[in-house]
Amino acid sequence: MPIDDAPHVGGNKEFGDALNIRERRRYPDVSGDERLYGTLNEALAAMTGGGPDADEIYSRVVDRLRGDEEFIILVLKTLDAVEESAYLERWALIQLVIDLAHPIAGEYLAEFVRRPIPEERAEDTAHGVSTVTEEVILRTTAIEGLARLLRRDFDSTPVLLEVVGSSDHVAMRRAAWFALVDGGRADGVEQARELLDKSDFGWIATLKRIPVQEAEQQDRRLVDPNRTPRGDIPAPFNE
Amino acid sequence: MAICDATVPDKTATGDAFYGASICGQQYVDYFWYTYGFTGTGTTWQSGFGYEDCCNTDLPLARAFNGCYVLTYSAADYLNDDYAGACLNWARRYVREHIKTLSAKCDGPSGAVAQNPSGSGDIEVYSPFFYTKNAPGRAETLLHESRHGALFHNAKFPKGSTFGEGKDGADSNWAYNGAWMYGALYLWWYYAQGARTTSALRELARQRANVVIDGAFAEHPGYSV
Repeated sequence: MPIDDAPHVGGNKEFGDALNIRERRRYPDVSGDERLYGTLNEALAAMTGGGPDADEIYSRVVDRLRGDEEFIILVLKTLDAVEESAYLERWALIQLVIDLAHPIAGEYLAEFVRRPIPEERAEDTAHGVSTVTEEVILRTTAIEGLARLLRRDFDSTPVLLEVVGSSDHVAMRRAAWFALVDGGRADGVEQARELLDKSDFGWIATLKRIPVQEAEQQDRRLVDPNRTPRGDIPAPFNE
Repeated sequence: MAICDATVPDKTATGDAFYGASICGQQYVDYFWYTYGFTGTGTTWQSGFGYEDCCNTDLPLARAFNGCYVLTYSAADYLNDDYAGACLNWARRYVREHIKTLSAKCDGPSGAVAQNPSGSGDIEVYSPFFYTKNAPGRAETLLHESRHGALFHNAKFPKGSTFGEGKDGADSNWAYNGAWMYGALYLWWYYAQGARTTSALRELARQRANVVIDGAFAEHPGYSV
């Protein structure tokens, strides 16, 4: 600890602001119903929580809301009301709908996947926030939802084939391909394979989904550890 | 004196609501400050960046700490940071060993989230790091930038990449062991074995890992998560 300059909880008040918080964004309340809006925020907070019980808490919330059509419709309406650049908020709403696993979300997700992707806004897509990448992640997430619904008798084969055959983005074609494979519709898989072959993306059908342990890990000869001492690490919160 | 404007996303979406409430303890502040390169850069975290209010998750410093928390504790056996193990375990060690300083600024070049100028290890993080990334995304960014101390991107994005076909900024392949490989590997492990988190956030890590694998390597690694 070469310099004792860590900030102190509740202290160091002598410095003035120079960063201006222009806005604190919240999920819009489209329900006009305090209880429903509260439930929405509770579910989303549970989704992004942490700690040893985080997943259990989230699962309990999802289990409680599963089958609540009024709530699922509220989530979808909220999704439409969130501004375009709020990618994290939009993703969380889509994931919540998917985790609720109700077929009434199927049409919405299919329509969402078909929406055109707005033009890239980032100047440096490698080190900036690539808006196309964010939009594609929303859609590959929605495709995962369609894959799950495919196993619950919501037939999303047409939209998945559209994506496999015509998307500008490898990530979307790949997601749709695996959604069809996982859905177990043999005819759809065969059609998808033909579409990929025709469009020069036949190699997508050869991608391997493997456990991370089987992927090539970092080359330890290239790591160059400098042995910076770890120091005393505090235990995680609540453990 | 305001020097830049920021919009704080809904803190339930970014995970900052949880972390802000849970980890506001001097033991964590001290550990992150002295482990991840904040020390000596205090002036860059003043003037509204949160030095004077380090638990306020509207402000950059607390949000950076939240990323550090994820980086530090996302492996179930967080005390093991052997490079022979999972990326989830050694990522925090890699950052610790390769970051010299971690400074905050309003804006970086061309809207960058962060940069490691000339691979010096003097990493700078900018407004998008605090306000467009969730807490796990900030952890992954710290690893990505730390890796630039060894290797820069060396290729153009391939056909069908979401990052823009033909633009500079890709890694040639997985075996290059570049920043994209480290980031994707971290996200993949986070999806597979991330601890103290939810299935939903692990799913987001999977989605992002796949998009990186599909678009950030000139030669596709042949994997899918």
